[in-house]
Amino acid sequence: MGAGSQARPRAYAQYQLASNTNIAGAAGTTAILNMSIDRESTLNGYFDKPTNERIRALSAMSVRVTYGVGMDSNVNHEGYEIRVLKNGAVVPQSVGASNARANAAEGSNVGRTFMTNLTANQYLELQVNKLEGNGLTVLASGTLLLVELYELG
Amino acid sequence: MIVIGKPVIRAWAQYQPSTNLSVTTGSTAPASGIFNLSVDRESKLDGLFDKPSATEIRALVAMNTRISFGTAVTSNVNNSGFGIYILRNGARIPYSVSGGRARNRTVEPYDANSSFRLVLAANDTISLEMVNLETLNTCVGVAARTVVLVEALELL
Repeated sequence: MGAGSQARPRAYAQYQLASNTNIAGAAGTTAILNMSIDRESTLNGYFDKPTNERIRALSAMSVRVTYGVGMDSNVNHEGYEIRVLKNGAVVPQSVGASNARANAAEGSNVGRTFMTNLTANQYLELQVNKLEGNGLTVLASGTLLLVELYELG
Repeated sequence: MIVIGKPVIRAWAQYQPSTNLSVTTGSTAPASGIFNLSVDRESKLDGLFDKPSATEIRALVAMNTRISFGTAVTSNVNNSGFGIYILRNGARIPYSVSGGRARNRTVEPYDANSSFRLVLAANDTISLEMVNLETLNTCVGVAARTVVLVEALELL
């Protein structure tokens, strides 16, 4: 149980996709998203941003991760999977999936909230995995990744 | 820094299904099934939760929680309606519901997810249910794209 002497660090990293991102290629093609737009993060010395794609924990910690991704396509019902990577490996509880539509006025969305443990300097990325071979467009205004510090150590 | 109020609780139960959940309807609908939430995904139970059965997560004391879930569903027909509920002691939480229209190709799943606050009494259980809303169809909740997270936010 939580100890009364432990203060809760208030830190979170919250980033949005930099621009609409087209992803071409066959089924199985993956793309890591450029999450470089800071949306009111309070990194507070616990997180940094070593690249446009990565959010890095500077200490060992447990985090609550929340993401939402909006998707469009050039055909109807184009399947895709969204997942969070930890140092390049898929976090199993992060995986969501849906199918996109061809009309820009008919968006599709995937979202998840989950917990994961990080060691110092481990980083998180948001990845799209194409389930079919048509065009996908990830929508910048519909895509956000929030990493909240939940517990140190 | 200064701690104000009750101690901060750092416990969570996070589980994924071990197998896909398939729910088939006959000439009447709906029909429902309960996910087998037996794969631990970095839980920290901390004496506040346990797992009395494969389908249940149990709170051992009264607490305020945040519950988050997500799943992706496919079907054997196109545009097959489904709903996803969190159950407390086997009863549906009305505001937990999410859903959509599943497609008949495994490469065209449909996502459903939600996050909300819920008060649990000691020994209350949480489960995840999928409801097939249409007749003569099969809906499949995909294990690898399904997770339930119960966070203890405050003890009561």
